[in-house]
Amino acid sequence: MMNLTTLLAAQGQIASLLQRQPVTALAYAFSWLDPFHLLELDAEDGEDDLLYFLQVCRACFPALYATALHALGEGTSGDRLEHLLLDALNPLLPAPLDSLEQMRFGVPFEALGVDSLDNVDFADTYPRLAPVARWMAGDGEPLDSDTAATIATTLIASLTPYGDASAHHDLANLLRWLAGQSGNTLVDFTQEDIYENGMDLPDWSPADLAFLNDCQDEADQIIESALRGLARLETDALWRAQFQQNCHLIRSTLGKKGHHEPDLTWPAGAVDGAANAADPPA
Amino acid sequence: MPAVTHADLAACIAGLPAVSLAALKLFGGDQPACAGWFPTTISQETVVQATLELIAYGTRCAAAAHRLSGLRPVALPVPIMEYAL
Repeated sequence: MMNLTTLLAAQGQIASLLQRQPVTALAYAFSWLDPFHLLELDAEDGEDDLLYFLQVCRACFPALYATALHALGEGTSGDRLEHLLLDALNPLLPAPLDSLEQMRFGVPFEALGVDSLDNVDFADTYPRLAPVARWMAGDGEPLDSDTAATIATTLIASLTPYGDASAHHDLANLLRWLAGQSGNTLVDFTQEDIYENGMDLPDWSPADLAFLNDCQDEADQIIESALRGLARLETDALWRAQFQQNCHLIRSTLGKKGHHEPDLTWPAGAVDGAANAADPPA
Repeated sequence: MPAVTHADLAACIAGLPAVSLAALKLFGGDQPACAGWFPTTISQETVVQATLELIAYGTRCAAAAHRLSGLRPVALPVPIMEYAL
């Protein structure tokens, strides 16, 4: 009868034999370090989240794939393994995952767009943005989203010549965010918009992942800039007054025959009390 | 020009020097004999580097095989009887 010692000895002999020939040694190495190369598993339809994770990581994060296999080989499993893998994976993603199971929903991202001004809950949902919408509307009725977009477009055009390093750029980004005119999907749409409108979501591929990481980085920078612009309007009376004045000028020309762009002026810089009516740099 | 047989061609390919992969070196040489199927005493960093090299090698091989599968027939100056039309 074969006992355990015999079995272990047989295992060692088989392993030794496999390593003698280059072809079998290579197959042996793949079975140890890169089993997905041999198995060609299709974890897409399976229910094993770990297999899906390994398949994605092999394509997008090979080092993490290797680390995960090494951890598995050392007997790490369950919650400890999941925490280990998520801690290593999340810094590489546009937005963090809470569990491996969420990988099946695609590359995570954080859409930062705001709802339409027409939304009845706008003021409650965005208490800091609601005053900006009121300043744009002046003493009249609250603006509908189309009129707000028209005003924002004109304001942005007058702010753009000041350059990317100016306070004007921050205000322009605030308006782009508010009107959904940044050109960055993650700034212009809410998470709900993206899912409900059936947009094509990025796949787990190195190219799509790189694109979405760039998109998220850009979105974060735009929002950071927009929040600086918002803070300026909230705290700087000169900027706020000029903003309201410019909105009034634009509203007064809307719908009139022979419509022409109003002559808008802005404070020169970020310092409170700076000279007004500065021309943009040439 | 002397004729080349299928066996000659196979021997020519088989005579190529084996590729040097870190993964293959992890089994033998100075590594201690392992009790299970695979070594367990090698550092994670070494295993990760060997895996990355192996994945890259497998990817290159798969790409080469894909290209070879799409080759058009070419007229060989060397007669190989087994492949005569």
